[in-house]
Amino acid sequence: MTTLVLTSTELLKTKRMSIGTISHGRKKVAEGRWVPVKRAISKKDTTGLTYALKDAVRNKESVIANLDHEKCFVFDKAGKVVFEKTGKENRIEFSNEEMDKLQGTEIFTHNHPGGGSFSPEDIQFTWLRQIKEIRAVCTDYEYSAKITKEWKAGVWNAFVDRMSLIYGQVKVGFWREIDEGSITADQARIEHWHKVWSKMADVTPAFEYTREKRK
Amino acid sequence: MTEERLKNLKSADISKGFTIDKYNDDQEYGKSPVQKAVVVFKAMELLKAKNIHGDK
Repeated sequence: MTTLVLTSTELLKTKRMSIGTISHGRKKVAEGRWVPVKRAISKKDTTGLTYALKDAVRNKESVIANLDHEKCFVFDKAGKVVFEKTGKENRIEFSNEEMDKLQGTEIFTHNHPGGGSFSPEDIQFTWLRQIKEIRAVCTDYEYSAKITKEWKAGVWNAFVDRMSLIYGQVKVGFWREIDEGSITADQARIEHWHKVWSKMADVTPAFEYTREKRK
Repeated sequence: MTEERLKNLKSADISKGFTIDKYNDDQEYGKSPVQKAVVVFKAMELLKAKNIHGDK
């Protein structure tokens, strides 16, 4: 259950109103009327993340979701942006020094203008820097992946081998579907890595992957 | 997926920095039938070598 903290002015306003609904830090007090709701910033939701962090990530993702080039933001536990970088149409390059800054950070989010899920290098990057969660957003979807245990090189290499096999299976399967006319090449392009990571999450302990439709 | 890419994926060397999302392999869905056949053949060979069966 969420605990909400209202300022005295807001409390006075809401006392006069009927019970409303709460969404994205605002309280609907009447048709067309909203008042801001202040949450305790250290309060955590069921995933263990603070609301401050989730709100900060959501705000930045709404800024970058529709860009025609890649851009990333990196957050600490409190929701503070500790690093950001603008990339090119389909890539972001990090120097050795920048890679050092990303070690052990909480959330790395970026956009994929093409609309697809994570590249293998996204996941490799997460493993190399021990980032708690990597996210990618586009117009229609938001993707999330986590490696919840510390993987030694051998575990990672086995993960890559398994991924390359599933990659081939998915590609052959989608080509068959394209030939049969059940999907288009564009649909296959968007779904390709999503299908690979979904299958990987099914067979890999400590690898979590989700895709959600953007609201 | 090329051998070189797989080798890079298994490398932990970041001394020259790191780039994410640089490959456009999902664009292969627009390939010609001949290119497609080569990728399918390689995938099937890999699956056979690992004794893993594809989707039925």
